[in-house]
Amino acid sequence: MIIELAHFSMILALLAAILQSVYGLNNNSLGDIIAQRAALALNTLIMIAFSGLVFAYVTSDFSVINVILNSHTDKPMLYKIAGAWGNHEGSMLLWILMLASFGSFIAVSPQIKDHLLRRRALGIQGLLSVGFIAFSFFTSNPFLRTNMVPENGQSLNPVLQDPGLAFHPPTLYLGYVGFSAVFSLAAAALLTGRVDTAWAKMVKPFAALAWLALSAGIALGSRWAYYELGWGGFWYWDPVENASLLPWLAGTALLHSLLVLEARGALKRWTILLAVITFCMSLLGTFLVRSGVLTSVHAFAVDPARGIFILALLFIYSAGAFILYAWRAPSLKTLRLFTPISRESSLVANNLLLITILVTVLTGTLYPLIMDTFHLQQLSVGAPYYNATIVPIAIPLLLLMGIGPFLPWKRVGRFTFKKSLLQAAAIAIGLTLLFVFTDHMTGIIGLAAALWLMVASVLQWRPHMGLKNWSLVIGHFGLGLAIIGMIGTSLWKVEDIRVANPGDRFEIGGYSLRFDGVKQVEGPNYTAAQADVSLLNSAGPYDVLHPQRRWYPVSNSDTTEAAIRLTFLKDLYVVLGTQDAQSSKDAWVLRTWIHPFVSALWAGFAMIVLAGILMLIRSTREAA
Amino acid sequence: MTQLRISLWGTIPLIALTALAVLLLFRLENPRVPGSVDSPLIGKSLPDLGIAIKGPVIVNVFASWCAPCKVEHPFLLVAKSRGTRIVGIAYKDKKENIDHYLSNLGNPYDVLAYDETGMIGINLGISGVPESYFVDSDGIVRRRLQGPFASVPDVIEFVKDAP
Repeated sequence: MIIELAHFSMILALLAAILQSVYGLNNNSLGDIIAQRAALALNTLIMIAFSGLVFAYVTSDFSVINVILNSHTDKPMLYKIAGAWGNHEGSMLLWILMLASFGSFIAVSPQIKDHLLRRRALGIQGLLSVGFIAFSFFTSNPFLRTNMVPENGQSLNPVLQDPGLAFHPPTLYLGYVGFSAVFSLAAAALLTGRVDTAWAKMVKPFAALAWLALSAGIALGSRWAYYELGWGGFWYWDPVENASLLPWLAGTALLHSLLVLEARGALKRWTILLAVITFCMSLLGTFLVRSGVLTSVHAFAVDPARGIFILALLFIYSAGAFILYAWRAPSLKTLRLFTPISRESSLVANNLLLITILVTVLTGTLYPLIMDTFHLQQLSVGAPYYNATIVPIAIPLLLLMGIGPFLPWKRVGRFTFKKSLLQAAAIAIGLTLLFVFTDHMTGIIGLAAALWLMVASVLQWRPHMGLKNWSLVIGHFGLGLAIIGMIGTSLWKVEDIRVANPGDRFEIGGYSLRFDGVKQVEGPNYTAAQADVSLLNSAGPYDVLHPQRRWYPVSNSDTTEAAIRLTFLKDLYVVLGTQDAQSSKDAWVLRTWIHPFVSALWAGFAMIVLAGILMLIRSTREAA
Repeated sequence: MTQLRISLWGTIPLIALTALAVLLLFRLENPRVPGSVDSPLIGKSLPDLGIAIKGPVIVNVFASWCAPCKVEHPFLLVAKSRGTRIVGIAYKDKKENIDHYLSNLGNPYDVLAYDETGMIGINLGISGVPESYFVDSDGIVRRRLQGPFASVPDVIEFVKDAP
């Protein structure tokens, strides 16, 4: 009964979305109020539908096909609930729930004072909802039942049974979908023709929320890969990882161009274009994950009909916005000449560099497809390409990020910035000297640039400064810190692979380790081979690590649980491989890594997210 | 009444989007087989590795320091006992380590080459060890496997005639 109610709510929601878009875009005198009410109704109906699906998972209702395929009674409750969005159909419903929630934010937000703009934005947001609800209903309906009710479900991929993964996709979707509101407000501004400082102020909270959620989603995914997958890395340039980086880069550029629009009333067309592109990149990401065009660890089940449907949505919405842009943008022309050395010029340069990085990543992601399509070559693009292309663009960007915030708006202040910059440069060079023991030139330059950015950010700190400056200082400092972490882990990683017999000792990165053998342990829904690896000093063992290989009988699959010893400067990371029965029955393959500076990476990510939170608080306050 | 003026620059995003959509649509209609990025050697004759190789044979690149090589080692031994011919290339390893490795674990190789400098590996374009190539009776490379064999039938199937 609950499932039918949820299913019916979804159909009603489709009607509400149609109503919202029709009355949002026509000129009926009652349209304003009808579009707002429809947006709220849509949100409520999708909330009912989503709750119904979660209910089916909580109660393990195996008459629902989606629950059979993705759940099991033996699963812990948290993962039963998370299972509701751990699959294509359920995650699509979550996507729509967020789309509808942002629609009702637009409907009730007090910061939108322009009624026509609100109405048109609701109309566009309604169109987005219509497309995605139709997609979900016709190709990926999670509410389909079966008469053949099985005893139990077919479980969830055990790799996904991790708290990090219960929260990684929803956070990421909040980011992806959050940019839909920015997209709708941009398209609405093209329709009404009013793009000004007030528009920038009003859009910023939406952009800040979406950006911070996307940043947090990417960081959570990266942490999950590092701690749970046992691959010993945090970023793989996997196409789907790139798909989340693309809207992040565009969104970062957007936040900065909004600053110029807000302060100077300039860059109108560029900002609008970025707002559209950012959401297009979100749609592209959704398409890449769900179409099976690119092979990836992240891909959902492949169904060509779904791929074509999402591609059609991607094309219609983006093309519609770009046509609107080509038509209306000329009327938004602002002829403002910027002084070459000024805050606004540095932000323009920041935007150009960020967009260059975006195009580079996009090219790398699509290049194998292009080559293969024209039968030129089969290849895959990996870390060497990205390291070679992005580092030379990122270094000037970091240097610029250190300088830009010291520059005043409009004109250059008479050399006032020079002293602080010299200080920053001196301190950064001094700190870099600490690292010259390595012979890796690019790494040193990267470190110097990151240190420069951190020092310059700290020097921007002033007593009693406002939230705006806090988010600048913390965000830029955090990025510098994260880059130190990235460079540190890639340059000074130490790896050891061996077949270990009980009692074997070995040294790695200043640690002395002893393999003490493997025993079987039982978990709630798995059995595991668990190794004891002792850390030794002159007095004997002082700590024991327990890397595991878990076996999930229900889904007939196994996972690797790395054992990690965290310290401030480096992580000791031990992974238990397979049994090496050929040489002796107690011999196991053991992989050990030393990852330096990983804590800097996570701290940097956390600071970037914190900067987003501060920006959200401040921009909401200012816009109200 | 709004004047209809379409700027040339304004249409660039639209053109880029259309090109992207056409590409993606084409890919959807013609999906690629996963993991099919292949060695450029496939379909060509094996480069001169300084050793006599007569097919059909598996060229197996391995090393004593390579843990996954030990995973596939027993499968190679069984395959050899069932008639599969295997050429071993000991990649970047000392001769005494290799001899010790093979006397401990058994020797599945009909021909063994010591590639202490890694030159043979470079000529083959290997991406890591273990890596295996199937060379047919005409000396043409037919297949490549990156990483270890997973079972005995995998090894035996590997030398069956390729399409």
